[in-house]
Amino acid sequence: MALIIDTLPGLAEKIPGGQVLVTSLDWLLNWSRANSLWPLSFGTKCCAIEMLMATGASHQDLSRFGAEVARNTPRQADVMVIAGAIVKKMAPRMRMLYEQMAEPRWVMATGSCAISGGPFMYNSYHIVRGADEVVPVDVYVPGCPPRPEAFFWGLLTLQRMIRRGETVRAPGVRRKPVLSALPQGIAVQDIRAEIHAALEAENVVDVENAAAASPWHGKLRQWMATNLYKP
Amino acid sequence: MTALASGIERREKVNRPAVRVPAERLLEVAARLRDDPALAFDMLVDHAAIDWHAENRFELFYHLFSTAHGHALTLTAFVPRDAPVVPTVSRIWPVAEWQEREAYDLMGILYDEHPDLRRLFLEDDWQGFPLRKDYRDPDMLEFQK
Amino acid sequence: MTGALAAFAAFGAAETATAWPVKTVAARAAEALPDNVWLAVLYMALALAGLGALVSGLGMGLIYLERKIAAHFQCRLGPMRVGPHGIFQTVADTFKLLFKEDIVPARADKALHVLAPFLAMTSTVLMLGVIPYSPVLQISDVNIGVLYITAVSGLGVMGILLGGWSSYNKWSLIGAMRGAAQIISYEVSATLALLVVVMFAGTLSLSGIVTSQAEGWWIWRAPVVGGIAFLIYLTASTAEINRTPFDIPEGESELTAGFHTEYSGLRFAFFFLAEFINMFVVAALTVTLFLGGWMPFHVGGANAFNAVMDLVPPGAWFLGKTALVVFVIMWFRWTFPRLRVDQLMRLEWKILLPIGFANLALGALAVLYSLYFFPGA
Repeated sequence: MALIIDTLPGLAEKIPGGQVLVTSLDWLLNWSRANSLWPLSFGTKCCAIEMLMATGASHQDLSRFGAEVARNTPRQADVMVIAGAIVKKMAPRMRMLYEQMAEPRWVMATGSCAISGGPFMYNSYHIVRGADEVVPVDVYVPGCPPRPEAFFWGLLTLQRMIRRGETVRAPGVRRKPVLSALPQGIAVQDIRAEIHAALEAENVVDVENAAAASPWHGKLRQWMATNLYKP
Repeated sequence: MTALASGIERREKVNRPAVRVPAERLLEVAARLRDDPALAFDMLVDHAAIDWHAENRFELFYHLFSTAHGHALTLTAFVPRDAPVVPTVSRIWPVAEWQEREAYDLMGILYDEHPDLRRLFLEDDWQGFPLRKDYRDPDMLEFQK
Repeated sequence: MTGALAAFAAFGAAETATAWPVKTVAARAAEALPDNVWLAVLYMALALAGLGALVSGLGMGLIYLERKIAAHFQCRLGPMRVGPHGIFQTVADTFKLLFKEDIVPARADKALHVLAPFLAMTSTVLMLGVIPYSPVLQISDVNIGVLYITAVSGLGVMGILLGGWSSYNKWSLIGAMRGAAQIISYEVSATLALLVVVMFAGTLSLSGIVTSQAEGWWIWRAPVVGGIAFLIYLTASTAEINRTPFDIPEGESELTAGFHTEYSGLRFAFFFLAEFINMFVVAALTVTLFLGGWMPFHVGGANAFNAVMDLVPPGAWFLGKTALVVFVIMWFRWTFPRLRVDQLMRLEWKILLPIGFANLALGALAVLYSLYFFPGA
């Protein structure tokens, strides 16, 4: 049935009034692809527990979106959910799995390791700085690990993209948001110093006067005294 | 224990009981620790190496546990940095085979008479031993100056 | 005590014998053939169309139900977004699979690779053709019905074997070999259980078996033997259709996807659909053989009760009972862990087979001495 994609819409465009057929068929295709995204579970590290296991469990239920059919073979999967860091040893295998997926296929990079190398971006000798060095990524879901709700946000974004028409005939623009090498003139120590300064500026806590400064502190103390330590 | 006592120092600074052994006595001490029924350390929980760069040597530690008695012991041995060779304990605890492969892979410790000493985690043709303190790689941005 | 036994014994007394004459579509077509060829052709065309509608409608419905039932067993909700409560989920899945790229691995045996899912689907559809859904809704009543079923269910193995072999993939091959071993082993036990019912009913034809249950369903009318045969048949059939706990051939955690690893798009949809329709076929056969087919539930002597039971059309009875058995098979999937391949073979050859033989021998004795639970022929 790859035949249908190629010949039928082309035919429809030639028929007078056939434009309607094309758009309806397109709408049906996009609707069905968006609502039946079968993930290829590609969990390599901690994100797998959140993205693949926790979202599929009962508390947050991935199957509400029709995406719980996680096929382990790339031939039957639509979206490769990269959950975890990619190491250099894994990268060629991931590329192979991506190429074995049947079109139309999409890739979601979840977690900071898959987006940019994450916490290992500065000092690692083996981590690939972002999955999009290896495969083209459609949706980036930030977090370390992202909450399951963030993953659903990513999935819904992908569904919106597909419904808007990024089918196999018009793949979306893939952007790489994070540089894997530092720009000229900036060193890691500078970045660290800046982060430290920002943290210190925003997060200094004056413990002695915290109680006085907080409007609810007294009430909380009172509630705790009466309700918590019952004999 | 007195027969083992020569050359063995007790290290008091650590929380678990630990003994330091000269590298040439490692095999004999390990065999004794496993076979003696009062000690019965039949489980090698972990084995790896520490790189004391300033002192120019590696410290190999073996965390042992006895499933019969429930006591634990740590065995450490020092090897010089330029000749990190030590006999393998995989004849005594078979699990050491892969643990020693990991130590070879990441730290470059060589093991005599190891049945299959090759890299475990990194690619087979990786150059260098990454967990050494003096390891530099172009991808390690912190050291790009 | 004796009063209760007497009431029980009158359970299937002769006055509640069936009042529905059986007429299959093939019989109608055969009748019409000498006078009006086109009517006969119309009947057969209707039958084919009905089968097609059944396969697609049932497939989609069963897949949706499986996901919803699995979800509720696991205290979650299942598909909810695609249509109200997710009822269009399988429609979306089907369209998506239809328009996916069709991949045949480069070194695969292309002809066999394309043929395998059709074989799997063929055996399923062939079996759907002989099941009595209701006295008037049976496509063809082959008078060797049970033999036909046993033979055709072997075709499904061919689909699995060809699929695994032609994929040029070691996981597929292992999955296919395990699947073939499992299916041909459990066919033996399933057949032994079937034979018990055949002995009691005295006929191989499926609608004959259904009408012979007029005085009581074989699951309780064949004393003890029927119940054991029912359990053996249900277990062996769950293994035949590669359902958990016997889904080693497609064990996801072990073999990526087993024999259908290298299938994508429409041909994978065929395998997927064939599995679910097979589940329906197995449930339908269980119902036909052991649970009375389209016969309503009668209590001997309680004429008012029986009249109320007769109000429900026989097709609905069949559907209800099959739905119950399908639910039980799905229940198995989300309750039991998967059996290892050696445990699976041991279960069949060392446990089910001896029990099946003993059951068959006892059943033969029961038939010989007319030891039915309830009087009546």
